[in-house]
Amino acid sequence: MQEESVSFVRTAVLSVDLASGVLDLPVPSDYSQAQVLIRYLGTPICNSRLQATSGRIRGLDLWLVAWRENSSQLRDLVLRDILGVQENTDVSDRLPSATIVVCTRNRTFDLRRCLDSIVPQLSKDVKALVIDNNPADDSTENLVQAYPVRYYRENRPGLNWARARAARLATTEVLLYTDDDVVLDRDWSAQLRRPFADQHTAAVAGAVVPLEFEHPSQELYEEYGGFYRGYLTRSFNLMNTIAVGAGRAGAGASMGVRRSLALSMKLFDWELDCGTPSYSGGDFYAFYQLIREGYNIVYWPQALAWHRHRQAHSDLRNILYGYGVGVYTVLLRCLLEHGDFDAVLLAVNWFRQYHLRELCRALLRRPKARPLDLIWAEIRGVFHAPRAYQVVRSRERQMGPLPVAAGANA
Amino acid sequence: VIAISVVLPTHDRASLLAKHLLQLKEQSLPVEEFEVIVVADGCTDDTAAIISGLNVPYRLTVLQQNPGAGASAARNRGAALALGDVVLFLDDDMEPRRDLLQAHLAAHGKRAGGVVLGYYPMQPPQKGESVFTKVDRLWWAEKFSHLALSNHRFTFKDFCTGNVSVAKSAFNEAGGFDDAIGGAGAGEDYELGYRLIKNRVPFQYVPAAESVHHSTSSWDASLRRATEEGYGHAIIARKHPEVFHEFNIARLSRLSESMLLRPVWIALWKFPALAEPPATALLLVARILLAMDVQSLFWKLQGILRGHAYWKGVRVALRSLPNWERLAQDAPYKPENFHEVDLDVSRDLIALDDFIREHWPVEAIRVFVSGQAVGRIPPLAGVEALSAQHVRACLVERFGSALLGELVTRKSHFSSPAAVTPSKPVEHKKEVDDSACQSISGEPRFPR
Repeated sequence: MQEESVSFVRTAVLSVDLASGVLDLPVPSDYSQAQVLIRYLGTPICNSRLQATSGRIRGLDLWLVAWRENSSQLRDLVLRDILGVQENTDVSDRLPSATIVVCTRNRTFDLRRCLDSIVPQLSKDVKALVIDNNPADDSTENLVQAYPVRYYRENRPGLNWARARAARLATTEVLLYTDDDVVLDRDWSAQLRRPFADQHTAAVAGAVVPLEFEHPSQELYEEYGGFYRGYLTRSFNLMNTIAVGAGRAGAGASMGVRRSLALSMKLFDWELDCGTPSYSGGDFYAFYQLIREGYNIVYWPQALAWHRHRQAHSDLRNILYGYGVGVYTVLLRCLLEHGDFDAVLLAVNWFRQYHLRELCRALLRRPKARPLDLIWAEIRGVFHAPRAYQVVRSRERQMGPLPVAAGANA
Repeated sequence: VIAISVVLPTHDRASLLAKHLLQLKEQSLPVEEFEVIVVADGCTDDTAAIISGLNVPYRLTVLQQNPGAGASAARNRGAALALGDVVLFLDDDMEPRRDLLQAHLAAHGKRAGGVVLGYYPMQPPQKGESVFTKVDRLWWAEKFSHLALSNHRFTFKDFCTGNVSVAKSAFNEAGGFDDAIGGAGAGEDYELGYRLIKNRVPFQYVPAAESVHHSTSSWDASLRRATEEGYGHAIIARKHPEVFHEFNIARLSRLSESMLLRPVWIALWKFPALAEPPATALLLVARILLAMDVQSLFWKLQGILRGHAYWKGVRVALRSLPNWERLAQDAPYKPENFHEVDLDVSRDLIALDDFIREHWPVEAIRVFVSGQAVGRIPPLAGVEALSAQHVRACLVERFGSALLGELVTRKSHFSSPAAVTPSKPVEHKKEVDDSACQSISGEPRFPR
């Protein structure tokens, strides 16, 4: 596969709030087009690609695009704003205390940017905690020292173990998990805490949008592996979904969980996700357990996280392979440990309707078919899942539960 | 002086009841200000003995009722003896929070003569509970979060007897619960709620009036409940035809209208036993699916089986297909009497609160924009009168395009980029809002 295509055009990523009026949006001079996240009073309406003319995008065009893509939401937001219609009562006095948790491993370049976006959000009620997961050197520790955040080194490898450790170390009511390759929106923590004002909310997932389009794989990632889940608030629970459908609720790059549940239900105490043989699926399994036990998960798109997609094509291939392994490992777990036969139906349906279908489309060279190597990587992942599950289970048995923290190192 | 009387019907749950009666001792409201009236509804366990053995500091009355009279009769008898001006209907599986009575009374103090709906979430999830209990809990949670919305419009279906207080005067004026439903059917609370709303009794939802609802549910219970609902809804629809369409009983018409299914439908009403063999077979399959935890398929079958159970209840109440058809044909789509007003958005929106107060009670609105009719907020049976907040939300939801058109043609910020001050976007936003509001009001800036 070619790493860099000649015809690739870089795209600037911009954000605009229409509530500030009909303003032209300047586009940085070395870009000819922009991916614009259009919002109204902070609520995302659409994320559209627009061409720049003489270094700017006309304000009227922004309104027209928003109208074309999502007229109903734009209309409602504008009218509600003007007429002062507020659905929800003010909850600012009922927001829970929170810890922003970043799990990282040897990525100080990304982490620095992430921490820079976290620091302005810290307050009396919002703390931050960096879990350095089985690092190869102390670069992360050195970096974090310059920031007002707590640092902890978790030597047991695996993103989920790092999350589980964070749940034990934090003292706040909720945990707001994010990844190190993410830049948080200004209001991220405030927005992600909001749905917790309702005591029936067990977890909240935010929207994850692309941070940059500098490489072709980043376009591919957004198209195939992306996190797009629309911009309508909705809740996920047993009344509207089966438990194995929990993956639709959101992603680990932007999710909040009640700490009491993370501890009592052992949401993250499993050998899953990055750094383990399952590569991914820790967030999926946590959401699965919550829905199955009858809890409510809210998708809250006003909480935005900007995710930097992988730049190299080989990375993208590895990630999709990891998705294949992770998702089907979790499904196997649902079947074998929870006796949930819906996992079988879902696995068969997905494989037939998604993986096989895309494989056929790619082989037949249908329009907009995905690159064959990416599909193949994902399918290989699916077939590796049983083996991965076996390894994961035996390692869990060997390692036992997460040991108690060896002294709190601030 | 007794200000609030707690009426607590119970049926064979002596130990649970005793626990909750003891918990009522801990109320923040002084014990002299409330009383508890327990109505033992055909109890066959040792309820009476256990209660009489309790030592409680508040006034406690125990009434006995013969089996079969039902919860409606029990509540009516309790309410008849109540000394307080406010009657709180509490279920025996409620664990009252400390401020429950205080919060109910305070809300009545703010708005006398009305209904106060309390908050009663189910107990937190437990290991090993059935999926039906989980779904019930989610259903209640969703119901309460709807009630808590600031533009919620109360309907008769918000009146549920678990934890609700009514001013005694309003209760007596409405005539209490209907004894005909309480015995074999469910929904007697909806029925009373309907008459209260019709009498224009104001409703409030007070989350601080909290009790924990200890309830578990099973599949058999949910099917039995469906039959009771079918029975209850049929009786309510016969009594108040205008709410027919508010219940699932109206949706049975889908069977009636299909050419293919109509003969089956007729046969089933004549010989309900015909439905039993297939229903039993489905039940068996569903049981296997439930045991194997194939929930995606189970819920589909459960829908059919619940529908069947519901219909059985309807059939017991109505007896024959012609009776149901008469009900369906005669059911009006709107209430008989309602107060309708004309609202011109261009003129009345700016002073909407005054407009609504002036014309109270507004139950339906013909909506105009600059003299042009654009539509109607229709009258609804069993729903409280519109407040300004309801009207605004309704206008956004149903007439959004017309409203937005009005804004655009009245030269608001869409077509006046000259007014834009790019350096201070936040301040500008404020400006946009004001100009937009003024342009809706019309007259001052853009005389017609």
